[in-house]
Amino acid sequence: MDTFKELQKACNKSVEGEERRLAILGNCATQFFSAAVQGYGRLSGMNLQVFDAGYHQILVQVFDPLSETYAFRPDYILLWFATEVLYEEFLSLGREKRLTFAEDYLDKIETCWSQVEKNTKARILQPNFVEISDMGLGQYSGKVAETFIFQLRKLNYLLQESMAKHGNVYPLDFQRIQNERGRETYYSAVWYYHARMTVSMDALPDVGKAVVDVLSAIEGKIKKCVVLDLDNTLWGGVIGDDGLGGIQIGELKKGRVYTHFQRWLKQLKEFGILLAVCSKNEEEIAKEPFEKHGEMVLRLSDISLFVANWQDKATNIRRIQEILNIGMESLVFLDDNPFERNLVREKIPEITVPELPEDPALWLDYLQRGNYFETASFTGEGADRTRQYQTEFQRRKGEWEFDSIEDYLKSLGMTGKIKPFEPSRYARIAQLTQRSNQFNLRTIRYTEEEIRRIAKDPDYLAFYGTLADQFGDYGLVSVIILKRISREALFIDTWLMSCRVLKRGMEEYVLNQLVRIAKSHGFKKISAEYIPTAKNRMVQDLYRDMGFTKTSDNHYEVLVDGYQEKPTWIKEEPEDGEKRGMGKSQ
Amino acid sequence: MERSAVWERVSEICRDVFNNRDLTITEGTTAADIAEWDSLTHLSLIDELERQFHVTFTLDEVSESKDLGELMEALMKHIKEK
Repeated sequence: MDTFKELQKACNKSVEGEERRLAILGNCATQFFSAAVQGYGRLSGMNLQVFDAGYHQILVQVFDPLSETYAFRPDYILLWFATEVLYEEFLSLGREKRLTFAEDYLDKIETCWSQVEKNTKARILQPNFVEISDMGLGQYSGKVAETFIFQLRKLNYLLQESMAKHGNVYPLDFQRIQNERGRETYYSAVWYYHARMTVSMDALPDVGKAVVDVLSAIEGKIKKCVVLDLDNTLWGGVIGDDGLGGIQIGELKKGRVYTHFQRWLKQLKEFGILLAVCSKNEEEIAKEPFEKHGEMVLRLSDISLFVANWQDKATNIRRIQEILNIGMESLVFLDDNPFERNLVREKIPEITVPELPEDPALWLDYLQRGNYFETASFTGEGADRTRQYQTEFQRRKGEWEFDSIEDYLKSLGMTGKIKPFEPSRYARIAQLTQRSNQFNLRTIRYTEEEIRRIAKDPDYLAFYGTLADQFGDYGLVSVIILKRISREALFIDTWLMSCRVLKRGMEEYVLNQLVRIAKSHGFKKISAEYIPTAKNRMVQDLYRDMGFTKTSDNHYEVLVDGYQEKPTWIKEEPEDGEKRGMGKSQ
Repeated sequence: MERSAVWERVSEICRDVFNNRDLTITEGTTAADIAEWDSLTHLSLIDELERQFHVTFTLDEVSESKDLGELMEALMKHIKEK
């Protein structure tokens, strides 16, 4: 980590991007702290501007609507009540008051929050309290309510509970930094008495990082997926060589290290982080431990994407990222092998690759210290996403293995269905007309009530299309509304499709069906129009490509009898015997 | 370490901390003589001296040293005690 001196220099580093403004208010000297935060922010690529309100300004600033803090128009306000100052206040109180110190202080903090919320929309960053054990009663202090440590720990606890109820308040865990660096490093008495500084120069970069970590998370820079190697990463040994009974997991040799590591990863998954596997292995062998080893914690159901092959890992990770459709910078890659780590780092600079220590016993501590999974929200949901990606992966995995897209589409076993509007679908149909922008030829929006009317109007032929393949059902993905404009002609009032199913032959399938319907109702001609919008350029030439004749700008028509059925791999969904095979259109 | 060698390094540290390559200082130089020497750069100076010489100043030395000479005295004392 950079030294404070380097952070200080970085304070003036110019950074692109929208400015973020943070006001720092403290009951202690905050100049160096502010510099550490601003410097760390700039070095992390954040255009961070810090306003330092100066020594002991918290109450004055938050209560005055005209204060410099509010005039600064902060996006964030950090309220730093340093323990060292609390301790002095505590000892100057009468014994009676000390008994209610935690509640009283929390009250004071909450009052500050509500003042801030009254005067600005800024988010609040709230450090917790580093512990000072004053040993007035030795370790016995831990059970005597009028000691400082008793009240301080209580205050930390009450603060947690209160923050849990305040969506606008984000915790900063300074106590954790003191735990890791030790009180002796975190704090210097000489600096405190001389300058009212409560964090030593050595620990300033750590607190700077803690603040910037939270800001980055709020700004959306969070990790969403961990890509895992298998051999010697999730278990000890090599599954291909050592076999199911030989790999270390559970009680065998250092297996407990890996068990505990897997439990932590499983918790990440429960918190909404996706787990993916990227291993150089035969897929079947690589999956064996997940399926058959009694002491494995992670199971196949925990893994969103399982990629085991002999291609280089950078290529595989790019595929994983593509399927998950998340930014590369939201991926973390864990691999015991320094060669693989370097290769991935070199080919994919945006990805995060922790430099795991050689001894796996140290990994968990190392990852926890690195704070890779800072977040700014938690809903408890997220586990469902794993299943969703598993299905998508099965589909996409096929794409890589087939020689041509045709072979791939053929293998999907797609079945489609075109059905007249029916009441249970009105809401979904209306929703699609309101939301579809890209594959939408005329972008006419309909309400549910209008859809109901169209369904019953004899001048309209209105249909929806569904699609399924061997991996799952896409559901209702297309809407077609045909309007009778004469005894012989239909007009395509609406044709839209969900983007999830593009390039699979659904366009061709729908059009084939549409022409058949027109024909069966005795129509001779279908006319169509493309209405350009900012978003539907992808279909500007659709009718031309499908064999329609252009009649004027953006207007087309096709004769029912002259229509050539388009090739598609989508087959009519077999439902009732008489229709079976009808949609076979190759 | 010889006093003259220590002074040489202290001078270099001062030029660095006060961000002034042409700074000329003597042991009689005080904060009043250097525009950049304020309460914050004072802390940076102390920190840099502590780091480079692996010493720790007392509160008195940090707070009460009136000129560079007094800081030098304290520094030499700590270096000898090591």
